[in-house]
Amino acid sequence: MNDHDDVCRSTDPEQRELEGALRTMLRERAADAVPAPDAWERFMGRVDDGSPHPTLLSRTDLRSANRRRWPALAAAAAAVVALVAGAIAIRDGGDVTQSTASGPDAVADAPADVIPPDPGHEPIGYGGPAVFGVGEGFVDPRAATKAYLTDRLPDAPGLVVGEPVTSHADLVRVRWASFEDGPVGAGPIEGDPVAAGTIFLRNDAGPGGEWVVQASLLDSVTVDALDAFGSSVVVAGTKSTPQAAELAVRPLVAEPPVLEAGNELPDGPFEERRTFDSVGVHVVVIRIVGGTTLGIAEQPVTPLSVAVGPVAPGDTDPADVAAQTVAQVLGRTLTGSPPATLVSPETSDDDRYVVPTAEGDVLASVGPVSGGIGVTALWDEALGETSATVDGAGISVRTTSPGNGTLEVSYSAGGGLLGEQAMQVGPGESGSAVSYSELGVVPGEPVIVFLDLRVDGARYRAVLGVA
Amino acid sequence: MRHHCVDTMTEDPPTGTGRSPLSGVEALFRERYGPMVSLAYLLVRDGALAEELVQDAFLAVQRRWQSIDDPPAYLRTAVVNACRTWGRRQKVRREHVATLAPETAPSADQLADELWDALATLPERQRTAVVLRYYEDASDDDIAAVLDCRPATVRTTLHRALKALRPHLIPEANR
Repeated sequence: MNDHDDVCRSTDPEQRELEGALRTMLRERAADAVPAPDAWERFMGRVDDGSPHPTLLSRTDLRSANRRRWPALAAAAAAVVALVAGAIAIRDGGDVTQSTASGPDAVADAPADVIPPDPGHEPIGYGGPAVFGVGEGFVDPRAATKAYLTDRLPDAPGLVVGEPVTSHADLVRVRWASFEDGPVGAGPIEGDPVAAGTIFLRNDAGPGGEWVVQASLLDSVTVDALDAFGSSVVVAGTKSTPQAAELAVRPLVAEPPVLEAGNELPDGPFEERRTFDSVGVHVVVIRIVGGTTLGIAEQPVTPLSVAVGPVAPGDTDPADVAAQTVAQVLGRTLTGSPPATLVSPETSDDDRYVVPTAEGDVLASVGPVSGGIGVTALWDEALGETSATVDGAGISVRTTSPGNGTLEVSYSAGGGLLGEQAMQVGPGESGSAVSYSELGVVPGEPVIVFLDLRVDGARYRAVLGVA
Repeated sequence: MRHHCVDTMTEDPPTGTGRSPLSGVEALFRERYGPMVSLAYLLVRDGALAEELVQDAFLAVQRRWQSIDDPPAYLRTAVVNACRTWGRRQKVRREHVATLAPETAPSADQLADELWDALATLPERQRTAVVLRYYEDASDDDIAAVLDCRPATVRTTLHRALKALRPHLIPEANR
């Protein structure tokens, strides 16, 4: 960046004073940042480690860590980002039923409902009945993985490691590196479509053993690992091309005979294998109990809806706007464009979409919001983010306000109004929550949330869709 | 661009390991590591964290050195976005914690510098724009490139940020 005329162009004395104070404060504070004298050595250590995609997991962990533990942390962080755009998580599951599938062919032909529904649980997040019989916390693995990284990781008991592996040497490195600092998880790489890859999965605390998940021709693969004592592995593959893709899992049974980089993992019978023909998001639930894969089920699902806004006063029916814009965004997802319009090639962990509206482009993202999954609209700099979240109890909405005003929230489904809320808001965040029972809908049913915020004579409206 | 931080790397970095990109990375590291740590610190308010994020950014630069046209600009964007990404995660964590336990009162130290704290209360995009403008002396176009928005949006963002900060900087304002 260069000096430009517009940097110091204010002619307002008060404005200049303010800007001057800001500059002074920032420079003084910046001087407090003293790089470690061994920064270059640490960097070279990371280069030599070959950490493929180091990503900071949790500042909470790092704060308490001795600097000598940094290489281990780096390795743990590397586990978070899989080269195959994968993520691993294990989620608490319910009862399981043994599958008779034992080989590739048998599995490929297995019916999609190998795992019978468990009437004791109602899944949310996919708008369908309890097809998988997964626990009630069953959510979009993509979002759940992020939530895992951001919310649950510091408190997780620690057992699951997901990391891309291509050789026995990688595998050994992962085994030793990934457990030194407790729990780590794996997260997807957004905006970086992957043709194929392998993920190493290990349930360290429970009886799950070690597994290898392999994928091909998928845009992204997410293996959801969340619960230390879970018996289910939720694998989601996102696919936007017509070619048949494949997702498979098999136990790792043999120790590497020679620990040299480049040794490929030995082929073995795949415990379970699935192919994907249709475009969309697919979810595969693999039950692993006691070191045995018990069943597999797969079903295409609809991604979470996306956020749009603002809506101009006097515009058409908000429901039309919502439907139109959601369709636009989903269209982007399903027609092969990278789902993430990232701010930079390296950084954002959000799936971001640019949604054109009458008032300009709006950034929308799908991902974790407070305590669950949902949609977030970045629709005005003054307001910051507005989000709607679904969880096991209902829907909660949060928005930020630049001042005092009123916030009205209404919920609709199937073209009908389910309920409305109104509240006074002050500067900062405000929100509301409503349960599914209050709305009269079942968990998973798509609900359109309208927000109408009036502050200082301005009106902001947003439409969020959750399911 | 001016750099206001103190580069504490008083010793020359060791020579590279023979990998061709590393010589260039090394030079960039020597020149920009300190300034980038300072920039990251202003955004995340944690020196150790700032270093972690900057190291991550340098690794990204090292991996893609051959394909990067403007490594300093790429590095800066990577650093800023890494900080923003971290900030979003922290926001999620804070919200999550807020649902579980009451907010804790800020400590006396946190209240010591009202302006510093006021900066932290700004929305992440506004905070980033302020730091880039008033620390990096970045133009609207430059900030827009980093934030992936239009220059007009940068101006609006900065205007709103200053409006929010004004009562903290100039107590007479709005009184």
